[in-house]
Amino acid sequence: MTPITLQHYLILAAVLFSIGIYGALTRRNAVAVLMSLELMFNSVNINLVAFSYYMPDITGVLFSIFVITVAAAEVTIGVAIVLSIYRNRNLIDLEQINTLKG
Amino acid sequence: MTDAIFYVLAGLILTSAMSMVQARNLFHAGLALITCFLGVAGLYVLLNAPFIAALQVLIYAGAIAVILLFGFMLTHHVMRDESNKRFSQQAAGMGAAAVMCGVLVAVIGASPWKTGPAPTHIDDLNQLGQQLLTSYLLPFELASVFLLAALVGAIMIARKEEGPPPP
Repeated sequence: MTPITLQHYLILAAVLFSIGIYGALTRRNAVAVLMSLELMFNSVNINLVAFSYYMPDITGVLFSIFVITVAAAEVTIGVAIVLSIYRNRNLIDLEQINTLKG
Repeated sequence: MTDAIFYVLAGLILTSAMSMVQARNLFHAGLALITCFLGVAGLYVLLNAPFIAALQVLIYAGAIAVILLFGFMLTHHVMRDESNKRFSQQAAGMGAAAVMCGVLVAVIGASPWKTGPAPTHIDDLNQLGQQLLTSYLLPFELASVFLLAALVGAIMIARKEEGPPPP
């Protein structure tokens, strides 16, 4: 068994990101798409902290703090928009929310 | 020992992420998401970043998962179960994700990664705080304004409107 290197973390994060993309593309429920987005945010954070550990520099950890901040704001606004659409049109199926489609 | 922990955590993260995107019941998906977040927190501990691990548990597994579950529970009687698209779309999504994954893994494998000297303790809280209040002071303050804007915006968007707006 080879020792764990930076590449192991990067590949794990790439696979996690792809799973998030798969979820975001195939889910129809808006809340489920938001959950998949959180998976992608997590994989980015894994990358940043792994870089920070393997080329000792604290900048990666700092960036991951900012990413966590943005993720928290994003999910709050996302759920608020979903609730607003649900209240006005009584649906959260992304295939039926197509009023903006030309 | 560390290697074994890494593989166990990686397996936990990937299986819970897969079960999250596949779950028919969104509540089960939320629980799988929390498991995945906790696994990532374990990974941060392994990477010598206990502060980020604590943030991960508090913000992701605590706040974000709870907000998502709230969103699901407030809307779940509209779409109870069937939350995946048709088979052709699912295959297309799977294909796109597989291509993405293949390209990323190939690039990661082909690139020469320059790693520094032996990894040490990076998540030094003193250093972190000093950096946040010196080099990263502006982004730090902007983040607080940003959070305030998101808070007010979320309340405004999700608020129930009563009657016509005042002229």
